[in-house]
Amino acid sequence: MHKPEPPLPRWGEHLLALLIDAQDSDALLGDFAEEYTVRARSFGHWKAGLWYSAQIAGSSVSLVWLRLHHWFERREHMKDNFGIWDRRFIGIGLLALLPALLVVVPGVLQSGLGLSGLNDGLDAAFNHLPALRFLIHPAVLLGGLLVAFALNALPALGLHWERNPEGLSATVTFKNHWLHWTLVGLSLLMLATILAYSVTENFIITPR
Amino acid sequence: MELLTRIEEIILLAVLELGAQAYGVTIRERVKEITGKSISVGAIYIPLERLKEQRLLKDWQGDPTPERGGRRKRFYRVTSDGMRALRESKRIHDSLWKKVTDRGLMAA
Repeated sequence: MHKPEPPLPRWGEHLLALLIDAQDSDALLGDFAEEYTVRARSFGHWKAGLWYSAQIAGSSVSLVWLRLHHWFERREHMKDNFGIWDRRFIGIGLLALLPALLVVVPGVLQSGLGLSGLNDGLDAAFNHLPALRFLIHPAVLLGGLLVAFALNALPALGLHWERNPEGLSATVTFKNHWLHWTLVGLSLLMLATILAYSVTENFIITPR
Repeated sequence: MELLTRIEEIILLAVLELGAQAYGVTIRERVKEITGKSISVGAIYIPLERLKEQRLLKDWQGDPTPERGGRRKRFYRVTSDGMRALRESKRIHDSLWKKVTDRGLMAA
């Protein structure tokens, strides 16, 4: 008589369905189900459930990586070489850099070239509309730089993670996406400039 | 030709050994037997995916089975490029080990 298959934990199936890319779902969900079934028959549902939970936890990073990898692969195969998501990432990156540009560019013009016009103009604008001051809050500045960096570094870098018995290792390849690299460079330059100004103003004592 | 990493070599050899039964579960078990270390169910697919992209492995879908909740298995086999990569890897290993053993560096 055919033994009915032990039912899989539903919460696990739902969670895995969120993590796993559609093209991998049969293979991966099937593997989880198969191994769970074997363990449930040999050791009971409780131990099989523990194993299942541990495997989901241990696999989650890999599954997310695979999902992102397939997503970027599909993006690469889109009709335009520079697809819609590339344009969106560039656009969002530029918007995210805006607060940093508002701080750094006038500051550099004033301290480097003695041109205070832009700085004065922005001060006047902030006095007139104080609600806009949130744009130059440190959290907004640094958050924007991080977003611009991450959104443009990810498509430009090919990250290969390898999970082997000794641990995790990664190799990186650099793709020829000059617009993304420009934004990555700009965000790093802005960060360096902001840090340099902070150090200069807070730690370097000017002679009287 | 790029050199195989350790785990890539182990997986290719496992797939070769398993023949027509090489899919996620069996490959994972064989890797555990060889190395003594466990890789998670999801993590085994990262090197498999990479080997597929390098055209060292080819995959195809099997039939659904009740143990898998009616889902198909994804089988793998080593391609001719994969065999070439394995031969190259073996040649390098053999050459390195020969030098070490000839010089008596591996004392018992």
